[in-house]
Amino acid sequence: MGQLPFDPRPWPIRRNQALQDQTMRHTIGFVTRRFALAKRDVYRKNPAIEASRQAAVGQKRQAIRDMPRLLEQFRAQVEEHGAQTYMAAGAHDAIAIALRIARQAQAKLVIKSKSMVTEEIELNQAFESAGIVVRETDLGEYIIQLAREKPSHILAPAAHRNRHQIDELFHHDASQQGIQPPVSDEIAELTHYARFRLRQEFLRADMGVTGGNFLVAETGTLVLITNEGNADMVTSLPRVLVSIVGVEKIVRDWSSLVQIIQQPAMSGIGRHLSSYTTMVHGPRQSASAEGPDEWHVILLDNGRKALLGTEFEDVLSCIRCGACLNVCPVFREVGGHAYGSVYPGPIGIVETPLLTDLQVLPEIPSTLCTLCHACLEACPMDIELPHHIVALRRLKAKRRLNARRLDWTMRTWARFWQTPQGYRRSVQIARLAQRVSRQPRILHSAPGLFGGWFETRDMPAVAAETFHEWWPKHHHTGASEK
Amino acid sequence: MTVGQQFEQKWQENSGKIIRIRQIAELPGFLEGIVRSYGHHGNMPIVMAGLPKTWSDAISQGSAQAAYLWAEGGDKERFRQYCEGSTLGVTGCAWAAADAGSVSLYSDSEQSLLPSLLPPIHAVILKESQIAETFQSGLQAMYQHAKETHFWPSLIKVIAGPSMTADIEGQLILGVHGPQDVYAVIVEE
Amino acid sequence: MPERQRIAKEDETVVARVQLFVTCLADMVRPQAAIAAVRAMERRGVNVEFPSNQTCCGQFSYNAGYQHEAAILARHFLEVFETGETGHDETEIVSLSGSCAAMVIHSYPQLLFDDAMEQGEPLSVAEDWKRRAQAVGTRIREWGTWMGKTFGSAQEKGHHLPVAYHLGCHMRRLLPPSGELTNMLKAQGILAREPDDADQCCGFGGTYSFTEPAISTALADDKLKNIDKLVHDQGAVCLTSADLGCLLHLAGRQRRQGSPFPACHISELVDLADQNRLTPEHIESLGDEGRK
Ligand code: SF4
Repeated sequence: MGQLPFDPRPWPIRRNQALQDQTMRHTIGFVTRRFALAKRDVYRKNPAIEASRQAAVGQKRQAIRDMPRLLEQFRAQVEEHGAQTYMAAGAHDAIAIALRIARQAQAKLVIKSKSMVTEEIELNQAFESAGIVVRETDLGEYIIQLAREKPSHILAPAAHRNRHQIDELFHHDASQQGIQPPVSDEIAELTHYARFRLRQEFLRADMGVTGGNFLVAETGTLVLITNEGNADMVTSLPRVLVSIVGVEKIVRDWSSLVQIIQQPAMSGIGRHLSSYTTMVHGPRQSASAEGPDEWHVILLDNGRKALLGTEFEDVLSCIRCGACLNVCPVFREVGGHAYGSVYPGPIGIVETPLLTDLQVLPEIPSTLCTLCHACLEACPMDIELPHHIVALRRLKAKRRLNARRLDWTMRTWARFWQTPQGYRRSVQIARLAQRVSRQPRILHSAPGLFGGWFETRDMPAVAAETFHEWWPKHHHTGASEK
Repeated sequence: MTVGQQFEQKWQENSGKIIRIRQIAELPGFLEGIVRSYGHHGNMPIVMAGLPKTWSDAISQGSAQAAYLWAEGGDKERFRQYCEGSTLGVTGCAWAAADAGSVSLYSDSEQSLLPSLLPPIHAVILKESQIAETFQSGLQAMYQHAKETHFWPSLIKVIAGPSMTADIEGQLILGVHGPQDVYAVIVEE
Repeated sequence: MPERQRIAKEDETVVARVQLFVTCLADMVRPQAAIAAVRAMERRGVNVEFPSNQTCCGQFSYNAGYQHEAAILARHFLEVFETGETGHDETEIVSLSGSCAAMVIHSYPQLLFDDAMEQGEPLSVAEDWKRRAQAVGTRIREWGTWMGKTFGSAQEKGHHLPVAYHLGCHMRRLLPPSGELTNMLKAQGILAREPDDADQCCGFGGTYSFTEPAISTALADDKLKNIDKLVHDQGAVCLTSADLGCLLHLAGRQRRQGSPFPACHISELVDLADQNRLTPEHIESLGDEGRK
């Protein structure tokens, strides 16, 4: 079973906070729609992509099934190139390995490019309590690090903050560092401040930390994709490089990489490639001008392998493109924080409970999905997200994790409606209740679980004559006006 | 559309800039112009890596601006400092791809990624014959070559546009960590 | 077995024979929609059967994770709509909700198989249920799409009344393309306009609408904003859909906010058009029964 960090505040508090944050909702709504449109466009204009995508899905599924063997092959390859590799069963193990490497290297300043896995294992907190400064270098990640927050979108971590709030954070940072603050809260100026500020740390850092988008078993290659170029700084400048990557990132061979490598950019932001795709094969070759002297690759399980051979296995094919977040109506409404997990959106509500055997945030498959199926349509890896969401709801019902009122309502409902007599009785009961509560035409309230509807909406009362009641009359008289 | 035209179009869609030159002699003047218009204050405005000798010689000799070339056995620390202080990084590339509008650079003893990373402007010089029709076919060719030579560069970098971010309010900004401007200079053969 | 009228093949006036699945929502709170659908079909010579033991497809329970409860309703559904000669009968079942049709087609086979296994039935029994579900699944259609396909869009009317058309998520993503439906409406003089951001869920989501009212309503408000735009920019006179769940949710929200706007099932518009009464006034009075 894996360990994942989570927001311990109860769901209604997380939800209400999100719904009240108009800045966040506006930016998230804007960013997600733009990404989703761009994705649709790139597929429409390049019909040939579809064949690659389908090939990639098949190959990735097979690679997941062959994972143990492929991971061994990958390790052998990169070790031959001069890297060190490690298997980490859980978050704590990965942290311990990374800390050991940092201590041995006497690292004081660590720079990071964006990595969901290091969020998952809470690397920053661990390093900071060990007295090692960690600097996030993705602009969005840097902003939320200053604000001591979690990412709100996989691709746009700071989408919930506007320029004024960011300007304040940067001013505070500048005064602590004794450097020039941004000259205005123009977005270009804020970005310029971050460039200047982080450049100094890129040049000084002793150790770099990356995640990884793909691991190629055949060639021992780690692939990193960014738009800002920070992963290139991290892989080029510090003397020690640590890459912490989930085991599911494995692909079998170079030709599978060729099919899948453009998928994250195409499906996530609608471009053929992100600005930078970096492939690392090993530490610096002696005469090169850049690259680390040491390269360590930590392969993290943390609950992933437990999904092998289950109905949820396809979840491990996720390439973290973010397409499912971008089309999700609920995500567009509440943004990432409401989920309470480092993995938000449709994939997050499936993965978070699964990796932790429903120990962490078991409510989210129920509270954050309308089952509209937009994610299934968007996912380039054909992951059966809606199906899994229903399956998780089923697991919850089975393990009695739902409110008793829901259990009761569902059982009673089915008991009534499994026979025509029961169905007719339920109509009579509803009519009686409506008479008693004096709501003859339009209902403004209802008892029990159904009360939720009436918090915000009305509903017509049960008709004076249902269709069932109308039909026999119609049928007998043959009264159809032609 | 030729492969070269397709590359041009895609590269520009990726917010890259395109220059076509007939002969290498046009190059220095053009690079100087870039440096001048950006404004430069240090002592090493141009850094270069991975260029054929005729090209780097032409740039060093034909330009009034000081230019430093990374060469095998060079001083890594000094080169890094030059790159950090320069305005324009000039590199060659291993290959380019038309459909993605991308160029691929390798890190090895003769080629360096730093000029494409640290200066605010990067110019990559390529011949039309280096452009593969698709990114996928380019990757395949690279793999074949690595297999035949039993050699993989320790770092490979594929560039498809300037460094960019939309992390603040979803607004696109160029030049967050890497270059804000990338030029592809296509040398017509 | 429900009562059934056997139609002689040689009867020329009968162009088709269908079984009507009225759905629980139409039956109980919007019977006008089902009555309109019956009239529109009968006018065109369709022999409509109504297996009167039907109740509900069980999607509410299924989506909430109550598999066994959903399976109880699904088995009942099959028993009502099966004709006894499984695999041979080709009578189409027309459903007044796209979402319910999708439930029968996509969820029933596995649901019934799994539930049988879980209840300790032998594999052969589980497989039998699955086969029966698949057989019924091949017969079910959404009403509007079926109408469009069966009657085409021959008699184009000259003038077109613009309406805001909401294509529900399950119909959009889980059923075959429904272009024939909008073409059929157009032939009836009904110009079905989709709002901006049409493919975004309205927030109904079955059980979700009452377990998570806050988010469900935020989504409704987004949808209604875009529908308002259609009203202002294109003069849409009402909101219509082939899915009553979405309609009740959106119309219920408008009413609660004190700005009721006519909302009806597509069948009601077709019925009006058939009678040459497709005017804003008549559309407005459609909901009268529920509005006073
Ligand atoms: S689940 Fe699919 S759409 Fe979502 S991030 Fe993963 S690969 Fe992308």
